[in-house]
Amino acid sequence: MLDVTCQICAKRPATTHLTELDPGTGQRQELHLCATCIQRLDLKLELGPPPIATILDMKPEDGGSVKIKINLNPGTATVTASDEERCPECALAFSEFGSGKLFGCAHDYTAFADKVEALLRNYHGTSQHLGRHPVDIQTVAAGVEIRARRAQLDAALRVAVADEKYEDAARLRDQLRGLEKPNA
Amino acid sequence: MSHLDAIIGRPASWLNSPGSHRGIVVSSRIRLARNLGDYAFQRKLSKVRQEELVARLIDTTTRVANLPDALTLRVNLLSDIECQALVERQLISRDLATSKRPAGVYVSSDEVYSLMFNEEDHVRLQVISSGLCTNANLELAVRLDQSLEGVLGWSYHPQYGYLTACPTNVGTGLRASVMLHLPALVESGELKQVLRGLAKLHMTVRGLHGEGSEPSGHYYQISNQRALGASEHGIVDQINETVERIVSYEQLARQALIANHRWRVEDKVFRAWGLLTNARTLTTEELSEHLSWIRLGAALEMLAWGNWKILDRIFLQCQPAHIQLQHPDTADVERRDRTRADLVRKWLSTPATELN
Repeated sequence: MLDVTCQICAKRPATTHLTELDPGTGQRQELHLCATCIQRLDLKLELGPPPIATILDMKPEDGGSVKIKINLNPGTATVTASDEERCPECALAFSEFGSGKLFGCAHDYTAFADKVEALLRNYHGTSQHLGRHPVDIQTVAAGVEIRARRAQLDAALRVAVADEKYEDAARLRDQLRGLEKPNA
Repeated sequence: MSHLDAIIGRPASWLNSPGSHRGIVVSSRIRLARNLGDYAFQRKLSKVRQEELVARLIDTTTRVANLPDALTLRVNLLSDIECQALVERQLISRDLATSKRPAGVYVSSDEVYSLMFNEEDHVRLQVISSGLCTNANLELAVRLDQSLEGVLGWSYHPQYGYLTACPTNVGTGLRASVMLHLPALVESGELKQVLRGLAKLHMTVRGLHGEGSEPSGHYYQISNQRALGASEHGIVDQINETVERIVSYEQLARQALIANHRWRVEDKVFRAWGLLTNARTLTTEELSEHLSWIRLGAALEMLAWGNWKILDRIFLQCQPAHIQLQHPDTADVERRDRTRADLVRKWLSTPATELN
């Protein structure tokens, strides 16, 4: 979808796009709305959007107490693209990210993974972090490696003892002891 | 009675002129952006949760950082003037000062550390000091960050690193900035070319008070644009290298100015001296411009007078909110400009021996 500005506030990017076809004349009418204005107008779109003409009549002056009658027979109107992909955690749609360049929560980074990937590559030239890790991740990762290495050495030591290769066994035992020391 | 009584009258940690590199490097700042895993980012966080977040961060930081005589402030409970004074001391951002949302700041007694809570990110940890010392500041910042991380658990992604509200900060969450005084490059017209070169190196240039501020008094803040794809030390090394290069350009420009137009520089410096020691009213902009020439005059030893401590005091204490908080009846601009001129005249005539 192209970037379209909300026709109510004329400021924020539109996230919901209504298209209406007049059954008589076949004439097409469109209305583009942002999430904030939908909320301000209390448009319960999930119940079927009201006719565009009705929405235009309610254009709020103060954003306050405008109430609308829900069109229970939404035969003439269809929502074409209101169900834009949203973050399941914070309900941010990617188009809302546009203006302030701020995400809504940490999950947005995975909810919009493809777009984030492109965004990061574009801005930072890469999407791979090379800096510090949280201390516990480092410790955990190091722990996993040490355990794997120990299992390897243990197995080799048993084989060496079984084969009576005592020189190899001594070397393996020293290596194992080395693993026990901190910062080995 | 102001919430800032404990700090307002004293010098700032980052302003200890001549700084380094013969007065060209004023200060260095390290900032880490961090978020807690169990809260949404600021724009999607309800006011109740924001209050809860700020309370939790203040509590944890006070316990974990445990810096003696640290100052903890609820920014949204401060007056506009108090907020502005914190911006003038470089302790909070302009965005936080004007936001009105629940927010806090934790400042160490020496003002080297300051942590903003519920800014664009949940935590913005800053370490600032005078001269070029980005490396030392980074060490201090990382050490405190690690202690806090152990308790709070930052939002972290195995590929993207530390997650931030704005993807331009993601990765290290690091911004390293160095404030430079570049009068000769401005005067010779070479600065534009230098700044163009910086963009190619993915460096950005800002004014005195960071994001969105216009350069004034020949002060420029150079900082990294990218926070992802390099280690913290890599980013800081690149900033240091860039700063050293700009400093050498400024030194060359100063030498050229002296060699070719000494009289012109002297005229600027002595006019500034004459004006500041005589004016009966001074706007912030006027003071900023003339003080910059006096700083240059002192660095080049053109002026017999070279009292850096006084220059710093004037620089800090004559900013609008600093005047307003410490001098009665200065809410009005005209009265403030008169007080500013009085303070500058008084301080410039202080004999060096009277300073502690």
